[in-house]
Amino acid sequence: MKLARRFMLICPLLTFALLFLSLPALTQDVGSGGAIIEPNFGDDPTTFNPVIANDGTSNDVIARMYPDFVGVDSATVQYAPGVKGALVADWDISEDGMTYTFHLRDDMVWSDGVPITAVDVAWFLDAVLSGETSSPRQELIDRVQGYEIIDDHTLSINFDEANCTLISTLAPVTPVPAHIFEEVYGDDYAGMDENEYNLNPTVTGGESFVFANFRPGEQTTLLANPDFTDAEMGAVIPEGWVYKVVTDQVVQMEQFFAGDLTFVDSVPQANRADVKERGAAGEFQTYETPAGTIRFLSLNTADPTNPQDGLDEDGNPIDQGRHPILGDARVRQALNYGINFGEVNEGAFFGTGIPVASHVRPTDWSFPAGLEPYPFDPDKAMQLLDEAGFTDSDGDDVRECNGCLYAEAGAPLAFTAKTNAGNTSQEALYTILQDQWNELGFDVTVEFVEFGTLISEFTAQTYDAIGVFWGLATPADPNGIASIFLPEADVVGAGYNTQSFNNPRLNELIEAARLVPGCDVDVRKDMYGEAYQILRDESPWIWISTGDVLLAAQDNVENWSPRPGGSRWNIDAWMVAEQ
Amino acid sequence: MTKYIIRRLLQAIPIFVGITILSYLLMAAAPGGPVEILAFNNRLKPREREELKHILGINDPLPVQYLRWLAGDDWMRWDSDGDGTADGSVLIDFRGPVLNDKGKPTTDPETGEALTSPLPPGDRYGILRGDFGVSFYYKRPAQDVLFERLPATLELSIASFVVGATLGIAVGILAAIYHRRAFDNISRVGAVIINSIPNFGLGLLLILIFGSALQILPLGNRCKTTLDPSCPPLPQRLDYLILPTIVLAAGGVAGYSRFMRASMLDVVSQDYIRTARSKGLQERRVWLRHGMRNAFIPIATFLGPTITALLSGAAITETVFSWPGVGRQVVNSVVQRDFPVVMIVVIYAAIANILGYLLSDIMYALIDPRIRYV
Amino acid sequence: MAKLKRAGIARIDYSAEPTTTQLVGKSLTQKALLTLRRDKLTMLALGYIIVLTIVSLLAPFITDTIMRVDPNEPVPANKFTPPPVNGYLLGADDIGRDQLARLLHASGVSMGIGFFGAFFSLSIGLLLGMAAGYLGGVVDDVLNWLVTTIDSIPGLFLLIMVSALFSFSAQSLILVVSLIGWTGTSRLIRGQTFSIRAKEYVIAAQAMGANPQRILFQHILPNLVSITVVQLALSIAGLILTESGLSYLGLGVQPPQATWGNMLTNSFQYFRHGPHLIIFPILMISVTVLCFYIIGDGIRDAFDPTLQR
Repeated sequence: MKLARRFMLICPLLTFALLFLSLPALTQDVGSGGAIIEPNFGDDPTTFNPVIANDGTSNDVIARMYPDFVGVDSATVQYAPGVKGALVADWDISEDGMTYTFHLRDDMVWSDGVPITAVDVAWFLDAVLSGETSSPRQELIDRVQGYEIIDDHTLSINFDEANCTLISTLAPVTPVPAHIFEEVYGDDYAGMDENEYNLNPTVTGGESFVFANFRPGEQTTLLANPDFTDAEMGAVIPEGWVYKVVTDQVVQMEQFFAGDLTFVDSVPQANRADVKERGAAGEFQTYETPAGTIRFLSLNTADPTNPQDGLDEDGNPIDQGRHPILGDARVRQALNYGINFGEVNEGAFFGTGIPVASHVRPTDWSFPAGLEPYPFDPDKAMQLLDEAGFTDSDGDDVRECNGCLYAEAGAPLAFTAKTNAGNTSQEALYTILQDQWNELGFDVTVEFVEFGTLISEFTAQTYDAIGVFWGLATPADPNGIASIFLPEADVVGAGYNTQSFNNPRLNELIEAARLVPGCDVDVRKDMYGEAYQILRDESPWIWISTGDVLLAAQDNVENWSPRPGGSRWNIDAWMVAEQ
Repeated sequence: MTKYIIRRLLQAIPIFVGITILSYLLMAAAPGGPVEILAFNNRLKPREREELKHILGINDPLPVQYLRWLAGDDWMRWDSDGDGTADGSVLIDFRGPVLNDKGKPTTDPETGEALTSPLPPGDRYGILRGDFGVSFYYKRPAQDVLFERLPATLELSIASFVVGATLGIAVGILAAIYHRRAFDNISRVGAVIINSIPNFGLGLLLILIFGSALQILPLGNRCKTTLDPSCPPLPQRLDYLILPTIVLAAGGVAGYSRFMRASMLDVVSQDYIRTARSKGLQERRVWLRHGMRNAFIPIATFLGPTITALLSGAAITETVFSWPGVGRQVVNSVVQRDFPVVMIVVIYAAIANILGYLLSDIMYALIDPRIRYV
Repeated sequence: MAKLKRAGIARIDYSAEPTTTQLVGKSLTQKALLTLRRDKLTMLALGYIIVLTIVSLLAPFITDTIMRVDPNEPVPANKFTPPPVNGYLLGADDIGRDQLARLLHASGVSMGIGFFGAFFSLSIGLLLGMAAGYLGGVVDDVLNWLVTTIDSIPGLFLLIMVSALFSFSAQSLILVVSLIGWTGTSRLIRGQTFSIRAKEYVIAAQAMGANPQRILFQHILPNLVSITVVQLALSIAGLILTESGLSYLGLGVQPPQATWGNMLTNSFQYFRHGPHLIIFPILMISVTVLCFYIIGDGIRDAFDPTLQR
C-alpha cells in the first residue's frame, strides 16, 4: 500500500522529467513493475567495485549496475559486438592479430549524467595493469601490452601475441566511472580494498539498475535506472531488484513456493520434479537449460607421497613417480567402464544428470562429433584390470597386484576418493560409485571432507582421487580448462594440474589451437577435438556429469523468457504484477 | 567491592591472553589457508596465489603472525627515509623475494643470490591498539563486519532471554509449589520436550508448519523484503521474531525452570521457612515472601553463562532463519578461514563472557547479604 | 584413556563396599534408590535407554543376520519407499537405503558419541576438578585459568574451529568434545570437593594420617557419585544434540556413516518426497534426549537429601 502511494507521487514526476529530457517515447513508465526479489544462497557481496571484485555474489550485483565491455549474446552465449548493455559496439583486428580496436557506443551515461567513454575503460585497465590491486588478473596483465584512447568512443588494445582467446581474456574488463573513481581512489590501487566507497557507490549506470543500498547479511537493493538506453520496453519496468540472503536451501524453496521470491535461478534437485509438475499445472513458469557446472573426479597419476612440480626451472619434466594404482591408464579406464550412469543418475541426480565425455558441453562449438562418454561395461572393465595385472588371487573379492605396473606385488587394488562434505548429491554420488567400483574388485574408501581441507589436499597433490564440481566459464573458453592438463599448470600447492598429467601430444595440440593463424574455427575445432579425445581416453579426470538447470519464476512475472544464457538478460522488462 | 572488581579485572588479563593464543593457534592450524579458499578458481595463476599470500601476510612464521596481530607490524618493518618502502626491520624481512611465474622465489643467474624487491613498511597496529585487522574475505575492517551483524544478534538474544527466563522461572516456581503433583511432572517433561529437538530441526519444522502449511508466520529473515533502505522499527516486524525466539528460548525455559524448581525446593526445606510456617504464616505468603526471594539468589549466577550461550548458540538458528547475526557470520568465516573476523568475534564474546561472570558475581553479592568480598 | 577408565570404575566399585565411614552415605544411597524406584517416569526413561543401548550394540547383528540388509547399500530404484512397503519397515531413503537399518547403525554412533564423549569429558573434569578443589594453591589457579579460558570462547565456535582441524569421524568428534567439554564438570566438582574437604570426617581422616589419595578416593569421590551420574546423563543428552547441530552445519560425522544428525539434516530436503525420513530420526533424537534429561532430573531429586521423604 505504502509503495503504491509513493508511486502515485513519483511516477508523474519521473515521466515529466524524462519527457523534459526528450528521451525516446516511453511505452511504459519506469519502475511500474514492482520489485524483483532474487535469492542469494551464499555470502554477502564483498565489494561493488568491479576492479577488485572477485567472488560470484559481488559480480552478480555488479553485472546488474555496470555495463559490460564486450557483451555476451544471451541467445548464442558467445561474445558478440553490439550486445545489449555492453559498451563495445564493434571491433576490428589488425593484420598481425595483435591490436584490437574497439568502437564504443556514444549513448550510454552514468547515473549522474556523465557519458560513458573510453576513459572509463582506461581507468579500469590502468588500475589492473598496475599489478597493485588485491585481485590481480594475471591473464590480463600478461597479455595486454598497452592501450590507446583514439577518441572518446574509440579505444585500441595491444596484446603480446595473436592468440584466439583474446576477447575472453578481456572478460573481466568493466567500464567504471573514471571521474568518480579518480576522485575516490586516486592512483592508490593497492589501498583500494579498504575504501568505504566500495560498498557505497554513488554513481553507477549503463545497466538496468542503479545502486541503492546494501544491508549486510540481509539484502542488496538496486533501483530502476531511468537512463538505461537498452531497455526492451523503452524503460526499465521493475521498480527495483533485491538480492536477498536466504541461508537455508529448504527455506529458500519454501519462500519461493510462498511467493516471497520472484524467481529461482537453479531449483535444487530434490524439488525439480515437484516444481516442474506445478509449473505444468500453471502455478509457476519454468525453463530448462544446460548447466554451467561439471562434476569430475580428479585421479592423481603421480606418486601422492612425494608431490613434485611438472617442470623444473628450465622447463624440463621432473620425474614425479607414478601412483601405484591410478598411475596406470587401464585402471583409470576400468573405473570409467564401471560406472552405471543410469543408476547414478537415478540415485544422485533425480534423473537430471547428463553423462559427459569432456569438460565442454556438446552444444559448444569446439565439441567434436563422435566424442562419446564411456559406456557401462563391467566386463570390459574387469578385462582391463586383468590386463593391468590386478587379479583376485586370495578370493576376498578385492583384486591384488599380480604383475601390475606400479604397485608392490600383492598390494590391494585400493584407493580413497574424497569429496566435499555437506553436499547431498555429491554424497549420494560417491556412495553409489563406491558400491559400483567395489563390484569390479576395487576396495574404494569414500571420505567426505570439509571444503577448505579438501582444496588444500587437492592443490598439495597428496590425494588419490578428489571429486568436486566446477563452474564452466561462460562463454565456453576451450583453452581455459584444457590448459589445466598442461605440465605448466602442475605446480604443487598452486597449479591445477594436480593430477600431474603430462601428454606431449595434448600439450602440442592445446598450444597450437590457441595460436592458429587467423583463428580458423574449423582448424581449431579439429585440434581441440583430438585433445578432448586424448583426455577422455587417458582419463586424468573422470568426467561424471553435467545436467540441466531448472529455472522457475512466479506466475505473475510478465516477460520472463529465459534464454540459454540465463533469465536475467531481459530483467529490465519484467513486470511483477500484484497478486 | 571496588577492590574486588579491580582484582577480578586484573585476573582477566591472563585469561584474555590465553584466549587469544588458543583461538589463534586453532585458526592457524586449520588445514587449507584462506588463499586456497579465496583462490579456488582455475583462471588464477600460481604466481597470483603466492602474491596473495604475501599480501595477506600469511607466509610469515606463526609467532610472527600472532605478534603482528596482537601488537602490529609498524615497529617490525619501518621506513626511516620516507620513500614509501621499508629500509629496516626486526623479526621479518624488509625485502621480499621476486617471484617467477610459478610463484617461486628467483635467484640471480650470475651470483646465485636470491633476488629481492623492497616491501612497504608495516601498517598494522595490532589489537592492543584497537586494530583488529582487515577481513581476508570482505577486505574491510573486521570490526565493521562484527558491528554490522551485532544488532540483529542482540535483538534475537534479548528477546529469547526475556521469554526464556520469564517462562522458565514461572514454570519452575509453579513446579516447586506443586512438587510431585501433576503439574510438576507435566512441566518436568514439557519444559524439556522442545529443548530435546535439535535446534535446526525445530526451526525447520516450525517454518514448515507455521510458514508453509498454515501461512500465518513469515519464513525467516528479519523483516519483509522491500526496496526500503532499512527494516521498519521492531514493533512492526515482531512476527519475524516469533519463530527464532521460540527456538532459542526453548533452552532457556528448560534450564531456568529446572534450576528455579531445585532452588525453590532447596529454600523451602531450610530452617527459617519451617520457622515461618510454624509461626502460622499463610502458605502463599511463605512461598512468595520467603521462598521465592531467596530462591532467586542462585539464579543470578546464571547470567554470565547465558550471555555467551546466547551469542554462540544462535549460529544454527540464525542460519535456519536467514537472520543476519554474528553466529552465522562466524560459521561462514571459519569455513572461509577468515582469521581476522573469527578472532574479533571470539575476543568480543570472551570479553562479554568475562564481564558477564563478573556481573553475576556482583549481583550475587548485592542480593545475598551473607557474601562479602574482601 | 583406557587406564583412566579402569581406575575410575574400580574405585567407584570399591567405594560401594560398606565401611564404617560409609554407613551414612550408604543409607542415603539406599534411600535414593528407593525413591528412584518409586519414580515411574524416571524408571520408564531408564528402561527405554537400556533397551536402546542393547539394540544399538546389536545393530550389526540385527541388520546382517535378522534383516539381511546392508545399511549402506544403495538401491536407487527403491528410493523414497514409504513405510512399511516391500520389506522396508521404516521406508527407504533418497538413494534407496533401508531406513531402519541405517537408524539402528546410527543409534550406535550417536549414542556412542554421546556416551564416550560424556564419559571422557567427565573423567577429565572429575580428575581435574578434584585436583583443583583438594590441592588448591597453584594447581587450582592454573586449572581455573584453563577452565575460564576455554569457557570464555563460545563452545560452538570452538567446536567449529576444532572440527575443521580434524577429519569428520565419530572418533575425532569424541576426542574434540572430550577435550573442550570438561570445563563445566570441573567447575562443579571443584566446588563440591572444596566443600567436602572442609567436612568434619575428612578433617578427622586427615588428622588420623590418611594419605591424600585415600582421602580423595575413599572419602571425597563417593560423595561425588550422584552429582557425576546426573552430569553424565545431561552431557550425553547435550552431545547427541551437538552432534546433530554440527551435521546441519556440515561439520559433523560424514555419511556414508549414518548418524541421527546427518540423517535428519539430509531428510529436510526431501520432506515432500518422504516425510518418514524426517519423522523417525527426529523421534529418535528427541525421545532419547528427553529420556536422558528425565533420568538426570530423577537421580538428582532422588539423591537430594532435602527432597527425600
